[in-house]
Parts: sequence; structure tokens; C-alpha cells
Amino acid sequence: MSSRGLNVDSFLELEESIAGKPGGPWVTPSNNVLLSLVAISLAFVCGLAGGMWEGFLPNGFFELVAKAEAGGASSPNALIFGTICTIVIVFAWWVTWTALVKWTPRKTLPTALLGISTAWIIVIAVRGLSHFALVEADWSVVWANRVLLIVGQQMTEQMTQAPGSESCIAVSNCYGINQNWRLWWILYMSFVVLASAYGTIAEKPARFLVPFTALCGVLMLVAWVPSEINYHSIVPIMNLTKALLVGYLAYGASYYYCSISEEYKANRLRSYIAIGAVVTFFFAIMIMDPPEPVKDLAVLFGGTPVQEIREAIIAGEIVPSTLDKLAGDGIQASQWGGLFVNLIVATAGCVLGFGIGVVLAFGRQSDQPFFSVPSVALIELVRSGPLICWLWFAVFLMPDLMDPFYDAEDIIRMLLMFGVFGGCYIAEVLRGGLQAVDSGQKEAAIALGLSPFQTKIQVELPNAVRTTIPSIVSVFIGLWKDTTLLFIINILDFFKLAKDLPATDLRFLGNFLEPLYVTALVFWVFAFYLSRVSMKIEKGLGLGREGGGEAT
Amino acid sequence: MRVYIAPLLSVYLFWLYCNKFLEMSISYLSTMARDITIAGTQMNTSYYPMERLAPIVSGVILLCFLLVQNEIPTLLKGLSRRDSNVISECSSSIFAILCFVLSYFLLTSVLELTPGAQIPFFFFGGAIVAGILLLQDNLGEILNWNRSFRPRENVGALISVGSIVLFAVLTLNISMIPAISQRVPFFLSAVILITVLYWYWRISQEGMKPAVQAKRTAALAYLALLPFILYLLLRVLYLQHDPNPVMQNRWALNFDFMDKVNTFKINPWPMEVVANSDPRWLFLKAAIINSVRVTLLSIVLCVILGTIVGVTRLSSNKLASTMATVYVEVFRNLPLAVLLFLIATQYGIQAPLFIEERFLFGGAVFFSNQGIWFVTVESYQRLVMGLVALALLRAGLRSMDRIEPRFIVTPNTPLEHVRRPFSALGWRVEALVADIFLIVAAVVFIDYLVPFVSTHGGGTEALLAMTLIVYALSVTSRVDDDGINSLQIDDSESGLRERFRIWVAAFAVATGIAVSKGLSWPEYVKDWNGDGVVDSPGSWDIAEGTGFEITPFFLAMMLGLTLFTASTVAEIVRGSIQALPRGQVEAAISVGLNPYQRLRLVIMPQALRSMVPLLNNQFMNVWKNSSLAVIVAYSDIFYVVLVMMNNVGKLIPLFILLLITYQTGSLVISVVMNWYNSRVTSVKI
Repeated sequence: MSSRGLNVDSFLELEESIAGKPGGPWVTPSNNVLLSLVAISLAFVCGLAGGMWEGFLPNGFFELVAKAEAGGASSPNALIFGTICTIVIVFAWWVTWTALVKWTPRKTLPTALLGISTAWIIVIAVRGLSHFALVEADWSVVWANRVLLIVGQQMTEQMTQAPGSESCIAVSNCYGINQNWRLWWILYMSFVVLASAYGTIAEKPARFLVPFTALCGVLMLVAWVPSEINYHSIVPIMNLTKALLVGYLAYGASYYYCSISEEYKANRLRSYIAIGAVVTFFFAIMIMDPPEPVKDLAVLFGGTPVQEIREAIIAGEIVPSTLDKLAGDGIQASQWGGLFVNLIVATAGCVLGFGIGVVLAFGRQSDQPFFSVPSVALIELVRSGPLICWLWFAVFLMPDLMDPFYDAEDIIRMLLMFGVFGGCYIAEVLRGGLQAVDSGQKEAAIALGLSPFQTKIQVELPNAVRTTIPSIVSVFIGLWKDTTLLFIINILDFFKLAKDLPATDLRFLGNFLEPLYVTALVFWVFAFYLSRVSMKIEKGLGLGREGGGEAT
Repeated sequence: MRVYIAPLLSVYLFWLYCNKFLEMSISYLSTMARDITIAGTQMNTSYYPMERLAPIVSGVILLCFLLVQNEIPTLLKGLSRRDSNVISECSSSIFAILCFVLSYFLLTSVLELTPGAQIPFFFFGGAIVAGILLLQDNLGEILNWNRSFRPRENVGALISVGSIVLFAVLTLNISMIPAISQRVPFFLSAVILITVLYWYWRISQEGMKPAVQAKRTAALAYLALLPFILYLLLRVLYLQHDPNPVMQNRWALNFDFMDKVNTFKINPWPMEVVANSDPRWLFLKAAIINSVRVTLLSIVLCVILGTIVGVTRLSSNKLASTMATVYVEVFRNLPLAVLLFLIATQYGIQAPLFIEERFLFGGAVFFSNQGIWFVTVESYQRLVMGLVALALLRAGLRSMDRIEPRFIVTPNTPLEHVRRPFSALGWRVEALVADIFLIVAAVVFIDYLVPFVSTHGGGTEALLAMTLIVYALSVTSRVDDDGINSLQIDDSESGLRERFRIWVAAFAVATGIAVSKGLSWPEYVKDWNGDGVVDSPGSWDIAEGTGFEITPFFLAMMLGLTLFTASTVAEIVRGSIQALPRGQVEAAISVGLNPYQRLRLVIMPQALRSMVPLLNNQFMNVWKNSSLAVIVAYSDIFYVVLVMMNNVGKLIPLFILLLITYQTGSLVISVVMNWYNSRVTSVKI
């Protein structure tokens, strides 16, 4: 009885906070619950039956489903549309009827007005969005091109024109060699780093394993759905299972190690994982376009470059081994595309940016003008212009300076520019953090005999990073969002490929909005995940602030 | 064995780096110093006369030397105090400056060095000698030599003096030593490598004072970075005189092309620029006005929206606070480029076509995919008069609220009299007159600003008007700082109600004044020549001068910037309010203040102190994010400069203009926000 009482009480409290305090003279504590039930039932009636007569009521469930089907939606889509809209409409009606039945405007007019207006604004927004998403939109423009959007044009072409794929019908029209194995290797390494990083956090295993498994499950589902499929679904499903198992192993190993060892060993593992993340980044760049020494090494160990045995592979006589694949030509940086480019450029901005930022921050606060003057000049110069200006500089002016000693591709120059840009912002953030380091720490380090370099790296930097982690992560989120600017330099990243789909994919001319919404959603998901990670780190380090209370 | 791999590898890589960069730098320097004059014309397009080349290269080396030596501040202080000891203290810096001047004379008048080997050896060898002298750190002692012979220091002195002498001898006789003159990069890299290795070992021994150690580390960094620094300098110099005319066009620093006519059209407002007839400077001015107006409007709107959302997030109404949280979380994590493109595309798809004649609100708003036209006042002077009436009311109300201040600071020096010109009128009248002076200055400013942004000239008048309004603002701030502004405001509920009524009446009167000359409705013209026959749909348009137009580009840009930045501003507002001690709000509730009074009297004044520096950052971000207007085809600075770059190819001058413009805008925002910050934090809590 008490738990039921609690539920009813918390419900009444919620109702009061949304619709306002009861003000009518007929409301007594005894019939409060009864009046709530009256309001709920009236709301249901209006929500289900609305629109059936020529009244002023908004459309109810049945009307909405009928309208959706008339608008061209398929039956399940129309039902989902009707359900979603009806839920929101019933909610809005509940707020309105509660305010009317209990006459809350008499006691708390602002709350009642705010509640009612917010509820109906939600109705308009949800109805518009779901109408677009379920009735008007044709999502197949994005679904059919999902591989293209993730890996870019060159890799998709190699995959679809490789032997064994469906568009490679006879030996005579195959010319591609599937290079997707490179991305799978990068995915395995990223999962290892990610899972072992989560393993060092002493939480219940289920809190990581369940979402991780759900994520892999969703990816496998997406890979398996047989509509508009231009690959063999068994391959990504097998590789995703391998990635899942690798993730479990890494998580289990690091969790076990952290649970049996002391704090300093766990910290050492964390620093190794951080180094592992940097190594994974350089590994990703290297594996996509292996430099000559790596290819020669693979040949030394017995592999034959795949492009030399291509006819044999296409004819089905030879299955290329790992060494053969390693010895083969890589994908040049100018042919990288899709979501992969965004991820690699953002990671470069974060990794290189952190390194450059640390150097600039220490240079700025040095008392030697030879270090401080150029650092300040560089930071202020880079921060004075918008990123798009510097990206343009990297494409057109930097080659004039760099070509004599390093003839780099556009994307590599983008990586460097993102690194420099991120570095200047991180240097600004670290400046505050370094100033806040207790001078007693530095003096103790000198007393212990640490050299200036050791003091900086082992005493000052960890302190500064700890206090400024939220700002650093927000710089990382900003860099991730800024990778969308690559389309202006005509680099085929996710955004450019998606927004050009209506023009380039002849099956879907004119579907302009769907790819844009999907792009927004994809970028939003990654940025949201990073901001949640930042909040968790803040809480874990005890940096959150409480206070202030309610303002209105 | 393993422990030697990393050092050996790094030594090898350093050797490669030195060799490569020195090789390239020396080849550029030789090319630029080679004078091939045949029959009076210079055949070498990369030629720099020694009068220009010597000061630039030696100047950079001198600058690096002075930075590492770090004696310039003491030198300048000593000179201003006319202290003669400073000469002996900063003798090495003075020696360096004298060497610079001497080298200029030697190179231009006295010596004739061959460009192939002697000139590169002179400059690079001189830089290396400078590095060695910095590392030795005994140049000051050598120059002030008046002490007895001491063997230990003597070695150091020998090395310093010996290196200078060796350098001079080698430069003059290098052609006699083909082993060096044919392999100058190799020789110089070897010298650098040996010096760097020896001194790296010495410094890691840590057998010297920390100050000396720090200086020697800086000197070591200078020597190690020397190939790169000189490469950058010489490459830029070479590019400005590149034999390839495209490169030379890109890198040469002259702005004459900006006086020529611009060849493409943009759509600016309110200034009109005509393609193929107006110079590029005017197009740049129109583009700057475009950027500034979208930035200003977005800043105003995002502050309003951000404050509303931030305060709603802290509301007790769970529904409203959840919705505010959803808004902030959605828009904070969206990329601005995608958001702008989405808004532009959605508007283009959903807005009705121009020929569909969609009028909203009974003809007040014309809504189409070519723009939105609003009804506006017929005469903008009347609008300004209405605003002036409101401002005068505020000055009057403040004057009525004023009470005698507890202390009155009277100016005594002439400078203070300039800063408080009305002090002789007594405390009550002075503050009122200062307020009215500010209103008058604002009207004058608007009066001169309008021709500046709508016509091609008007720059000097606008500048004078701006100095006037800055002076008026400083006068009012000074009046406030000196304690004259002692206000007693009635914040009770009845007082608030009365004030509210007064302001509502005032707004009604002001609106009446503003529309007294009538409204300008957007007029949809289908028949342009008035002959009663409707023209073809392609020529239907809104008549020029009726209504107020907002182009879809401006609308998309403003919506995108506002929605995106408002989410961050909401977070800042929420964070500042939540950083207040809880006791403040509880005390306000216990004293009996209603929510509005709480917000206005207790929470906002304290929250503003922490908000303003963070808002400063956000406003600078809005200014820099306005460069994304290239996505929605809005003619802002970046878009116009980008097209100009494609047209004329003068990349470096335009890039410099771009950076200067954005930096100036950021500085202006910074100055204004810092001034506001000083006003908000003038009371110490």
C-alpha cells in the first residue's frame, strides 16, 4: 500500500510541477486523485477520437493513420506515425485538461501557461518531424549508399568490382581487389583500445558489455538486412563477430589486471593504453597506404604483391594471403573517403593537436623569450582566423612552402592543419591549467632532483590535464564537428558524399533532405557520446559543481 | 645494444634534416644573390640586390640572437634611466647589433663575395657562430676583459674568439679549400651536428646554474632549428621573386590589384556595389558590412534566446526544463556546416514559390523562397525619434531616482576635467546631462553611420562620430565610477507594477511616433508598365523601397548561427547561475522576493560576473563562424575574398587581408566585452 501511495504521490507531484498547483475551490485532497483520473480519461478520448468530426480538435489516432496512408506511407509506417503522434497529443491534452479541471491558472498562472504552451509546441514539432521521417521521406537514398558513405568511393568500387561480388559477373568485367580488410584491422585495434580503456574503470562489467554488445548487434543487423545489398553479408557479420570477441578479450584482460594489481600498476596500464591509442592512429594511416619499407618487408617474408597476381585472383585460382595483401598497393590518401576520413582527420586533430598544444603551452609560459615569443605569435596568429581560412591556406599556400621537402597529399595537409589548429586551442586551455598547478609541486620536484624537462612532463602536465579535461574534450568535440568543413576543399568526406547523393545517384534524384538529416544524426551521435564521456570523467575526477538551486 | 638504437637513429635523422634543409636554403640563397646583368637588364628574375638581402637575412639572425640572449629589456630600461653600466651588462647584445651593421657595410661596399659559396657560407656560418657564442655564454666576459688570466675560463674564451676568427678566415679564403667550397651544406651540417651533440651532452650533465642552463637550452634549440628557420625565410623570399610567374603572383606582396575593378557580382545591403565598375576595396567594404550585420544580429538574438533557454533549464516546471535540455543537447552537438546547409535546403524546399503570393498576417509579411518581406515604418527618422523618446524617458526616470551621493569626487587635474566635463553643474544635473549627452552622441553616430554603410564614402565622418560616442560613453562611465550615480530604485511589487505601466505607456507613445508617417507595406507588382495587362510571371516582383527584405541567405545564416550559439550561451548562463552559492537563492526566497525579483536583484548581478568572459569567447566564435556563409552563398568576407583569389590569384595579399579583418573584428569584440566586464565587476564581492 505504501509503494502505491508513493507512486500516486510522485505522480501528483509531477502533475503539479508541469501544470501548476490546483486552484479551483472544488479541489480537495480527497478528490485530487479522482480529478486526475478524469483529466487522463478526457485526454485519451480527445487523443483517440480527435478529428473524426469537423471540429477544432487536432487529429486523433485513427484520423492520423488514415491521413498518413493517404499521403503515401506504407501501413506499418502509418501505424507508427499514428502511435507516436497520438502519444504526444494525449500528453498535451492531459496537461491542458488537468489545468482546466483543477483550475490551476488561478493559483500558478505562469507554470500553467508554460506547461500548456510547451506541451503543444512539442506536439507540433513531433508531428512535423515524424511526418517527414515516416510519411514523406524516402530513406532508401541513404540506405542504398551506406557502404559508400562509410568508406568512400575508391574502396566501394574496389569492393563491388572484386571477384565474388555480385556486380562482378564474369572474369572479364572484374578489375578490383577488395581492400576492406585494412579497415577491419583498424576496427579491431580501435576496439582493443576502447575496450581495455573501459576495463580500467572499476565498474560493473555489465555496464560496458551490454551497450557494447548492443552496438555490435545493431551493426550486424544493419549489415545483414538484405535490401539494397552490394556485398556478401557473411563477411561483415563474421568480422563484426571477431571484433566483438576481440573487444571482450581486451576488456576482460584489462579488467582482471586492474582488479588484481595496485593503483600504480593500473595507472601505468592507463598510460600504455593512451600510447596505444596514438599507435593505433599512426597504424591506421600506415595500413591504408603502407610505405615502401613495409611492402618490401612483406615481400621478403614471402608475399607477392596482389596487383601482380590480380588476374589469377580474379580467375579464382589464388586466394591472396595476408602477406600478399600487405605487399600490394595501398589506397592513396587522396582516395580516402566517407566517414573514415572524418574519423581520421578528427583523430589527427586530437592526437597531433594534443602534442602540439603541450609544446606550445610550455613554450608560452617559458621565461626564455626564444620560446615564448614564437609560441605566443603562433597561437595568436592561428586563433585569429576561422578554421576554414586555415584549411584553405593548407590547400593552396602550404604546398608552396612544403613541397621541396615533403610532397604531401591534400588529406595529409588537412591532418597537419587540424593538428596545428587543435594544438593552439588546447594550448590556450592548458595555459590556465598550468597556471593553476600548485608551486609546491614544482619545488618538491626540483628538490627531488628532477630535471626541468622531467618536472614539466611528470609533475606539471598531469596536474594541468586533470583540471582541464572537460575543456580539452570540448575542444575535441569542436574538432570532430569541424571535420564537416572538409567538403569546401572538395575532399569526399561523409558530408560531401551525402549531400551530393541526390545529384550523383541517378536512382534518387531530388531527395535532398534525407541525406542531410542522416548526416546531422551521425555527427550528433558521435559528439553526444563524447560529451557523455566528458561528463563521466568530470564526475569521476570530482570536478562537478553543485549549487544555485532553482532560478524560477 | 638496444639502448643505443634510439640515440643513433635520432642522430641520423638530425643529420638528414640538417643536410636537406641547408642544401635547399643554400641553393635559394645562391640563386637570389647571383647578379646576371647582361646589357643593363637583370636576367636573373630571383635576384635580390645585396642592399635588401643582407639586412633581411642578417636581421633574422640578429633577432634570434637577441631573443636567446634576453638582454633587450635590461638594455631598454638602462637606456631610459641613462645608466652607463648597462653598456657593460648588455655588451653581447650591443656587440651583435654592431656586427649586424658591420656585416651590412662589408657586404654592400667592401667585400665582393661569390654567390656560389662565399655568400651562403657567410650568412650560415655567421648564424652558426652566433649559436656557438650563445652556447658558450662568455661573450660578455670576453668583451669586458679586465681580469687576470684564468686557465679554465680561458679555454672557453679561446673557443669563442677562435670560432669568430676561423669563420672570418674561412669566408675570405673558402675558394682555396675546394673540400669545403664544393660541399658547403655538408661542412656546415657537420659543424652543427658536432656542436649540438657536444652541448646536448653538456646540458644533460646539469653542472651549471639553472638560469645558465635555461639560456643554453634556448641556444641549443636555436642552433638545432636554424636550418628550418633560415629555410622558411629564404623560401618565402625566393617565392616572391620566383621565375614561375604564377608563384610570383601568389606570393608577391603588393595591393595594387585592389584598386582595380571587381569582376563578379555580390548581393550586399545596404551598400550597393556594381560589378565591373567599383574597385575591389569597395567590394571588401560591402562584404565586411555584410559579415558585421549578420554577426551583430546573431549575437543579440543568441543572447536573448540563450538566456531564456538557460533560465528555463533551471525552472521547476519539469516539462519546460526537459525541453530546454533537449534543445541544448541537440544543437550543441550538431556541426554548424551541416545545420546551415540543412536550414538552407529545408527553406528552399518548403517555402512557397514567389509566384504563389503567400501573404501572412493580412499582408504584413510576404513569404516566399526568394526572401521574406516585412511591413516596416515609412520614415526611419521617426523610428529614431521614437527610440530617442524612450531613451529620454529612461534618463528622466533615473534622474528622479537619484539621491545625494555619500561622497562626491571633484576633478582637479585638467585630464580629469576632460573626463568629467559637466562636474560644475552639481551632482543631480551632471548625471542627467551626461545621460542626455550620450543620447545626443548616439543620434549623431547613427546619423553619420548610415551614409557610411550605404554609400561608398563617409569614412572620416563616421570615425569622428565614433570618437564622439566613445567619449560620451567614457564620460558616463566616469560619472558612474566617481559615485555620482547613487540610485534608489523601488523594487517592491507595487513599485514594479507602476514602472511597468509607465514603460508600457512609453512604448505605445514611441510606437505612435515611429509609425506617424505611415507604414510601408510590401507591394507585389505584377504589372510594371501600368498598362493594365499583367506581365509574365518571371517579372513579378516586390516594388523597390516597399517593405523590408530579408534574403533567404541572410535568414539561413542568421538562424543557423543563432540556434547553434544559443545552445552554448544557454550552457554558460546555466553554469554561471548554478555556480552561485545555494544560500543566496534560499536567502532571497526567505526574504520574500518573487521569482522575477530573485532573478533580477540577486542571481543575475552575480551570475554576470562569471558569464561575461565566457560570453566574450562565444561572441568571437560567432564572428569567426560567420565565415561559413560560403555554404549558403551569403556574400561575407570569406566568400568574397575566396572568389577574388580565384580571379586574380594574389593569394598572399588577400590572405593577409582576411586574417587582418578577422583579427580586427575579434579585437573589437574583445575590447567591448572587457569594458563591459570592468563595469560588471566594478563592485568587489
